[in-house]
Amino acid sequence: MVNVVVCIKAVPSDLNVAVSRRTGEPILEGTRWVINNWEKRAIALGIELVKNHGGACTVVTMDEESSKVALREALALGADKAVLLTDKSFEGADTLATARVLSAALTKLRADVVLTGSRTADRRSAQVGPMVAQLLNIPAVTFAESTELKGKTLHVTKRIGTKLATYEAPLPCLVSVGADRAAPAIATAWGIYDAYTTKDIIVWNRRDLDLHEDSVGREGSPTRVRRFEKVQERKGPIECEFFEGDADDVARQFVRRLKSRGGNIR
Amino acid sequence: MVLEFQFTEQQELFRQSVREFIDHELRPIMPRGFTEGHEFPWAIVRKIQKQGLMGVPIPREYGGAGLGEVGYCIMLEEMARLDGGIATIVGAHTGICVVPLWLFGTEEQREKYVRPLAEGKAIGAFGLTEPEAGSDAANIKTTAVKDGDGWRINGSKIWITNGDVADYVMVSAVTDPALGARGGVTTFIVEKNFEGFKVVGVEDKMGIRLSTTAELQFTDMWVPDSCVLGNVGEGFIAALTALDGGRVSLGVGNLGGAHAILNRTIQYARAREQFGQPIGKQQAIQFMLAECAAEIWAARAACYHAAQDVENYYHMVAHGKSVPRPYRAKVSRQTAMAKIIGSETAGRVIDRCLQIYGARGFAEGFDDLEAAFRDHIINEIYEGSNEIQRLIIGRELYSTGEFIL
Repeated sequence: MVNVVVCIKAVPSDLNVAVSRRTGEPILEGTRWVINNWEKRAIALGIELVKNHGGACTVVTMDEESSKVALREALALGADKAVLLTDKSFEGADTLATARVLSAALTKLRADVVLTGSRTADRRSAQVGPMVAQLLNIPAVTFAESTELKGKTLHVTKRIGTKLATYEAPLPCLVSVGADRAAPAIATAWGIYDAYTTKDIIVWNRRDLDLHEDSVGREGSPTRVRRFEKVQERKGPIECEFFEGDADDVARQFVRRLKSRGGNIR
Repeated sequence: MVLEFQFTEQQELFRQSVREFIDHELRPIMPRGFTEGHEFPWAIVRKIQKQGLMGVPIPREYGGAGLGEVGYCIMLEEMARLDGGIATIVGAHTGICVVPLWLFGTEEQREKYVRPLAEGKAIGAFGLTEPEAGSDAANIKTTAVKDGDGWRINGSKIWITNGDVADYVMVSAVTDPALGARGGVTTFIVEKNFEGFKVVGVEDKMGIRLSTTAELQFTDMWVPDSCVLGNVGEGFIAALTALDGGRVSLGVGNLGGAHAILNRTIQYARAREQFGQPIGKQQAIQFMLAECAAEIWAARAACYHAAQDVENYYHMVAHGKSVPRPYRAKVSRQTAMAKIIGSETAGRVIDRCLQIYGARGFAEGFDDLEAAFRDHIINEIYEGSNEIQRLIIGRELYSTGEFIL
């Protein structure tokens, strides 16, 4: 039996949204919200784990009361339970404030395996997963391709260039799923019926999670997004560079590279 | 009178999942252009079956998806965006075979036939039309004579969609010549392995070529009593009830196909340059596009309205509630209207779009314009020709003396 919890985020189906000149914020009215694509892969992985080892797969998201459609889609894809974390005070949360809310829910849900997408399509921070792991003091493996549970240890494979690395992590642990995993299944007509009739969404607010007002939402966020600007889409492939060595080494190389590209780092 | 109509969140999610499924799973394996031969597209249909799309309006307890007639229309609209032939396969199976089985079948029949059909483990067909009974559907010559614990059927059926591949075919036959259509026709559930059942041939058609159309022959075919759908003598009403839903989903499907073609045409009009600018800048082209958009919008709203009424109507029939006669007449009238405006709007749209594409659209395979043009012809012919639909509406108008909205 394994208790899997998948953290998901609804993102705009079309990322080419307009930005308000006045507020510098993206205009999201009328947007259709879908599950972040990598998290669909995480849900598929979670369902697979439960299928092989028993237990339950729960999806959880922090969002507005009105936006349950992503959770419904997750239920349609085969998740057993869905939890919506919503509170007026959660608004304006950055990655850290989001991670605090999620980790409180994960503690309450007693998760053995926490799955997330490696990053979201809209904000692209890739921070929330590792932050949650840090707050819960559990190990994390990022950009995973597949997992296998052996007793109380999760074996996680990850593709690095032309190499396939396997990590071992004791339960409970967090795994963020990358794009190397094959595209997940699409919800069937039966799944969509079940998502709205035989399954339901549990709603938890700040009090349910026993969180202090100062630690969540805008209040609890150390960072602010100044503004968004629309720019020309970058053509050509995105460059990817891998740094190797121990943590300090990697950090030093990374800073050197940023400086060589004109980064203003002291 | 309720004039508002809004898709629920569940319906929107369903549409999205169907669209995603079609784009990712079906579109890459679709044959293009004028396909040779008339092979049933098993690879495509198997995927549709696994996705749960062969029993969308059928309740969950009988293996369907329980998404109602509106959900079914949503699916068919999306399917028709892909291909008219594929939409016809799914439509004939669901709308006029599985639906009447569910509405009029006994609990045993629902378990034995509706479940595998709705779960996508079997394929169904519906056989009403005969060489001498097309628009004059009451003139069927296939006979069923009582023989022991069953019936002996003789006759033939033509233009049967899925007839060559179906596991189960709904066959209407005359059980009492004296009574005629009202009480003298019975629908039988025929299994393909019944002795005396034969697929005589498959048609070669100008359009919807991925859908197969068969001629069936029954020679001294014995069918047990347990295969009588509903009651003896109720075959015609079962057929007509199924056709109500069939017509409205057909109207919506036609519009889905036309919408897809219109969107492609808008892109083409923006890209194709003549006289030093995109042809889409010409008012002559913009007017045609505008008319297409306006007509699709209006027709689609009307069709979904009718679909909602069909959903209520079917709910009443399935639960054995008596349906007031005026309501039944209203549903029939509305679905007849939906079929006319859906198919004829689609016809006009595709015609204009082909004109905008010019010779490019006339050439085989380019952006599927040529296929859409060949496909749309049948829409005004099958499931009751548009002339018969007009007859249904006109008769009612004449007898009531006014058009009641």
